[in-house]
Amino acid sequence: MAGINNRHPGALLIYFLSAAAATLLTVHPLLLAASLCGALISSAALEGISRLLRGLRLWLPLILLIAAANPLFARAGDTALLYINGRAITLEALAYGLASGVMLASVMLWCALMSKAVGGDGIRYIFGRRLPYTALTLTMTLAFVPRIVALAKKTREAQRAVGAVREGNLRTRVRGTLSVFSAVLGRALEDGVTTARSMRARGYGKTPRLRAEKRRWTAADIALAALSPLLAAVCIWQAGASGFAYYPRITGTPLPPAIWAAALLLFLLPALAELTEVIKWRLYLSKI
Amino acid sequence: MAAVSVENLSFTYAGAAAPALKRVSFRLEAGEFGLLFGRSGCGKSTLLRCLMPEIAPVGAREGAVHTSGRVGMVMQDPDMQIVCDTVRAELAFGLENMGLPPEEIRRRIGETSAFFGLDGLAERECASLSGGQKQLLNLAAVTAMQPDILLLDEPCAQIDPASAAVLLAMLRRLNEQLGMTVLMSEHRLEDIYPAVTRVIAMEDGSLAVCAAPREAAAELADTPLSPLLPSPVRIWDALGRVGAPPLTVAEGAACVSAAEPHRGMRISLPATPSGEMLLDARGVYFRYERKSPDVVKSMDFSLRRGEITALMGGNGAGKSTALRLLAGQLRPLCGRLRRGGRAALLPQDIKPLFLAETVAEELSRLCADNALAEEVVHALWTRLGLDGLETRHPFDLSGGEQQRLALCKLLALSPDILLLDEPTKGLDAAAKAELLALLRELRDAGKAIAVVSHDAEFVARCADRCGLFWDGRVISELSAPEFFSSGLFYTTAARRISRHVFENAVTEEQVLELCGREARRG
Repeated sequence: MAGINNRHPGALLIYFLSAAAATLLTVHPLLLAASLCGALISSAALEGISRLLRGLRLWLPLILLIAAANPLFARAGDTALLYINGRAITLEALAYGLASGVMLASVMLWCALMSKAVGGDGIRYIFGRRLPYTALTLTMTLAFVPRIVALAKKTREAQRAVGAVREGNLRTRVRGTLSVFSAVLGRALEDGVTTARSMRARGYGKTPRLRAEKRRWTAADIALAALSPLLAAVCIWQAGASGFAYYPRITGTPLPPAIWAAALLLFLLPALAELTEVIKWRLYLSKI
Repeated sequence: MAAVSVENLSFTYAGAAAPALKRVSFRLEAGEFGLLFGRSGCGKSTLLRCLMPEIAPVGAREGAVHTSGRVGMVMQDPDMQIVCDTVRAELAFGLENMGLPPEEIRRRIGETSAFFGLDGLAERECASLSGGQKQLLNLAAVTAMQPDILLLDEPCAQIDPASAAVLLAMLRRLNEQLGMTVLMSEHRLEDIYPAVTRVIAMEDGSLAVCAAPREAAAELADTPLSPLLPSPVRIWDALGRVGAPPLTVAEGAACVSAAEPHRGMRISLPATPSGEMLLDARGVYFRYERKSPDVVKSMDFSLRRGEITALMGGNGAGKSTALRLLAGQLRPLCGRLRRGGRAALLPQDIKPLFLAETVAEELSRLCADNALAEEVVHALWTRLGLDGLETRHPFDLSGGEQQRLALCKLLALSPDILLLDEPTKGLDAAAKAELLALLRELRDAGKAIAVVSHDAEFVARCADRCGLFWDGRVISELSAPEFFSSGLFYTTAARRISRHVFENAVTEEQVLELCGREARRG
């Protein structure tokens, strides 16, 4: 995880936002495919193959669901594939649905990668000086979510033992879920009192907060922060200029090879950084 | 010069009828290590909070409190005191609030993590630490702010004894090497009592004693606070108070020798179990994920009607997992598990068992959910001593009361097998004695009971049989006197004091019995 994680959190934020923006603001299927592949490869490089495979179980059905749902609601498109209840299911709507699914999954993946790579420390670092309280609230909220999930699991198990949560018809199950929800909420409020007390006991809110960490921008950080918005802008602009459209008929000109290279570079940067680390380490070992 | 001086402090919580503190006066000199103890609800936490203006309780207050220097405070709950997501950020939190320059903050974080042995953990997420590590982090985060006075409100109540020992050792270093004044409230006194310089005992909001440990022990030994004192003092008291009160195991041993008992005397062992087998596990294996290591492997364990079996063992050994398997909350990967009746598990964290705003509502919901008759639950509730608590919120009850409410909910479903996970965590001596009496009563009513606990003193008193959980299975299952007299580490203070003369006395009562004395009723 050394490759991209050593970068300045500001540079990382800019990079991941650029990758997400380039995905969100383009409709070109090839760029979207490149983005999804890049996000998946980065996820494998940063978090391991097994995490990626587990993630795919979520992403693949999501993409397929959106791809299948779009033709049912969208009536546009010229090439009818089949008719259901007198309505045409068109190739164009199917393609657009697939593209939307890929776009949504990729953007979500990039955001997940961003929160992992930037992390609570990074958020505090970036926003700590100007908005110290906002940064603290943000990271506390992020840390709060897994806590609540674990608490809900524990509560469910305990309540099952005393009969408040049980299998059965919908009404019994909803009742059980509601009681777990109310118990978790009560507990969270109760625990919050302790946290607040601990914060006050350590002088929170008395004097303006200062941040502890200090990190230098290296040449690589500056390059990353400058290059990634540039690459993203080029991709978005060229994809727009190619005039690609799904409706009424899939039309568009192929992208020039330079744009291809730009897109691949943009979306594969984390994986490339990781690969460079591996090669560096091998070379280092071979020199011993 | 006094680091802490309290004069005639009285305090009444807003909306409460009776005062929580009544004319409390004491002084703690700079560099002293003060121990604050008393039953649950005697005002220890209120007193500590009154010493720190930032978290002072709201209510009517009289008298004067003076502290010289910066004050830092560590509370009981290891989890909820943590504010930030990573160890480094947590250490920085207080320092950032102080507005120190970044250079200074980094230096203090580095220094503190090295001192506390948190070096490798700086990047770790706080949520991934163990309870003991979390509490150590809480202490480190407060220490980094360089307080002159450290206040600790039962810091060891929610962590295991091994982690508690590490925390106490750290506190002694802070006190002895850095000269910090420490004032700590605590229930388990066996280890800490001889190490402190001043003992402050409270009873019902008033100060009972404020003296050096030996004088305090002599003064308290025949008061209602005596059950809270460490074993050597209680044995010394029952043996007729020869010489100064002993505080350490060695002094206690000398005290027992002085009573001139017959060497090698032994107490008779309980009869071998004969009750009906209610739970039987043979060769049970379990792991949480396909590729993770086995947590429970080839475990054999059985429970009989009318018997209490205890399991002791290290942290993360899989004891809680084993209990959940026995309760049927987890399914064994392979092996045979046979239950001859309904099983109920009292989890380590009992708060998830409560849903309602009041105790009464809690119990009426229990009746509704399980189609139970109100009278049956009411009878049980009276028997467990919950009368008079009906209008209280479950979270406002004391630890012992919460536990009885939880047990009431579980027992209402009339289980034959009762499994308890760390039932004495955070309980004071009185609540432990009540739990002990209750478990004996349930055993005699024909229930099969298993207790997982770190608390050797409690287990030695309550269990008929005792096993060591190690390497995913139960090894060396013996009768309680045999178990605690054969081990060196898993044993009780009474055993350590008497091992040189008696063969198998493991509780205070047994030591006194062999010395020919009647135990003082606590």
